Amino acid sequence: MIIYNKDWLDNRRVQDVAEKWFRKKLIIPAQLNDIQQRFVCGYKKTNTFIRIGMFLFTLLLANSAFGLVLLFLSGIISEIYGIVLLIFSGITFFVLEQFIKGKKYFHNGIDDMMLYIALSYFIGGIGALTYQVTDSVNFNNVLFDCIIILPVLIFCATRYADSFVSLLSFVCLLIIVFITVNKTGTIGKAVMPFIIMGVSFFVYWFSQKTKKDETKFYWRNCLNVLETASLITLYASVNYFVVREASALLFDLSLQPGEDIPLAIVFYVLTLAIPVAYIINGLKNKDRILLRTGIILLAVSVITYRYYYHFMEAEVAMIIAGAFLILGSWFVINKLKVPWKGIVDKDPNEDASFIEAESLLIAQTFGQQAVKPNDIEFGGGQFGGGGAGSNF
Amino acid sequence: MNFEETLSGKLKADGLLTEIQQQKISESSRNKLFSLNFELRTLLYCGILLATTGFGILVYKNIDTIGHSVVIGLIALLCAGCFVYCFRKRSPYSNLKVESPNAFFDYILLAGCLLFLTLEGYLQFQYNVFGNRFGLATIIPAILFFALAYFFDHKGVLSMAITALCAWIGITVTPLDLLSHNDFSGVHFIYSALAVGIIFMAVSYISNVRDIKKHFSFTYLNFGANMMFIAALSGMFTMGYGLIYFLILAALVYYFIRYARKENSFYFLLIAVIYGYIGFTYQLFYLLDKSGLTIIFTYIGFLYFVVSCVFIIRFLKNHKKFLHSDDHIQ
Repeated sequence: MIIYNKDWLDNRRVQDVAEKWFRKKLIIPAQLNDIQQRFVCGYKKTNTFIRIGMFLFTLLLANSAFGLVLLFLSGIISEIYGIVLLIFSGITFFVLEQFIKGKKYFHNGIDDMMLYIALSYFIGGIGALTYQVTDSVNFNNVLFDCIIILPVLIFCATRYADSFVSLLSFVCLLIIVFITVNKTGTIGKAVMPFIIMGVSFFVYWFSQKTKKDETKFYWRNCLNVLETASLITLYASVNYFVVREASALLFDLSLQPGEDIPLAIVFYVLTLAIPVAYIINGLKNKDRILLRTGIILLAVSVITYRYYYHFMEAEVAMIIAGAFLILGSWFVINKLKVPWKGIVDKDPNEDASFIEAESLLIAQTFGQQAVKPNDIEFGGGQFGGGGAGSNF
Repeated sequence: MNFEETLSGKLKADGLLTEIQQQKISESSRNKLFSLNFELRTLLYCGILLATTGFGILVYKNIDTIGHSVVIGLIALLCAGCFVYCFRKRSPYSNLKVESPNAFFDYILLAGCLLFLTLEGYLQFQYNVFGNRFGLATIIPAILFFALAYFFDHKGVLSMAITALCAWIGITVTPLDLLSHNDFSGVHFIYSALAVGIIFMAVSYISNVRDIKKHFSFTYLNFGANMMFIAALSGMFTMGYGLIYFLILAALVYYFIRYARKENSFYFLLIAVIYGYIGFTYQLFYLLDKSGLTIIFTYIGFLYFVVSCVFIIRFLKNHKKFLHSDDHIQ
């Protein structure tokens, strides 16, 4: 299913975990070295800046190469450009496969960009063909295109483990659902928010469940993206503003002054309840995606309410919200100097104090047994008196 | 059983981990701490931004009723309060990196600097204290921010200081342009950007060698490099002597690729390649345009992009060989 060598990906994960242990001073350099020798990965890691550079120049290269070909063929192909795009797409996919299998490319910028180029040519080709045949742009065409494109997107997302393509697949799925439900007429339009909500929830449940499966860890990034996207669409589908404006825009629902959309109270409640539920569950399950999405969506909810009810001047609201945020985060930061139910306010990048807090926690569970790693092996005790004083 | 527990068990069986290590690893993976550090800092920052913006709008709207002196007094008081707080809580100065004494220190210093700018702008707008001496209005925050950045060890304030300095230079050279060419085409801007860029590079070099706030050197070099590259490119695009600026650009590219090689800096390698590519492509197409080969112009253009991109991708792909090959010279 996945194009990459699974053994190598497994080994790479072991290497990453071992590096984490080393940073946490749970193992010594010699052990890290041994583990890296034992678990070999043939894929190279690419520096981010190099990756950006290769990404950009691959885009330029592919487009000018195809531009050159088009220039030579310009007299012949004006009627069949849809097919030409599909041929380009096929060539790019073929070369991409060769690069990954033969040259061991692994998310180094070139293969990422080639995948996107191949897919854009494919989508463009399908779109151009349907346009040529029907000579019109309408919902039916889009639906037809999406139904053809979706399996290809899902296949590529799985095969190349690419998170952006996973996101595209999700969007494509939503478009299909939206157009199909829209076709069913009045009932469909009335229950649209709840159907989109249901689909989003299904996708969320699916990615959560798959993420727990250790054998599916190759797709962890894809699943994280799917999770975030589905949480956002789940909220958006029942956000009061979205429902009201979408009804007006897409279903020609015209509201007189004083009138409100059907079930308005349900949407008002859900607009607030969903972000709050995200945040609470995020903290409870220590789920960062849920927590961050919840915080951002809560701000969106506040703006939604303010859009319809101007209960105070904007600047007063800003000052109150700002003061609330400052005091609230100040209070929580001070509270979390000591871990509370495993939640803490420490910078994980500034290793020393974070590790200190963690080892303190381990010390509690281990009883009185010392957890301080052997200082001599690391050249100088970083855990000495200095750091501990102010924080604990 | 989570992955780390399973893995540590397997590694222990292979003899790669000891019994105690395996226990500690399982224990630590089961008791993972959940840090809200980033989230809380972001919320705090958003709060400060919201409150100060709201405050600004409120003052602006009610200026008739409050009176200017009260507002100015209030801003001055807040600004002074921030600086006094920082001064009291500061860690002693050192040429090395100094850790902030607490979580809020950096934010309060930043707020103080922003308030200082507001205060200055307000004074100028209301009482015209600086008159037309805009140079004076920009050099004061520049000097103050440089001093604060070094005194309290704050990279953000350093960036603000550098920006203020550049603004000062920009304002100072404008009259020269007006006098000599009677237009704003900006030859003096390009000269001064090149000069300032060289100065920043020198400062970066000195702070590295002399070990004076070594962690500031990247900020200087980054500003300097980007200013000089952009100056050279805009010189090529707008000035008459394209070839001279092209040579300057080539020298810059050469220098920064060498620098990237020496310091193993992927960032400078990338920007040197991108700026250099833009300049080279521009120069080539300029010459092609002059030569009058209009019929095959498009073909040559596309062909050039294909060939050059292949070359650059190969170059970037082999960066490891390239960056490390020079290690022994260092």
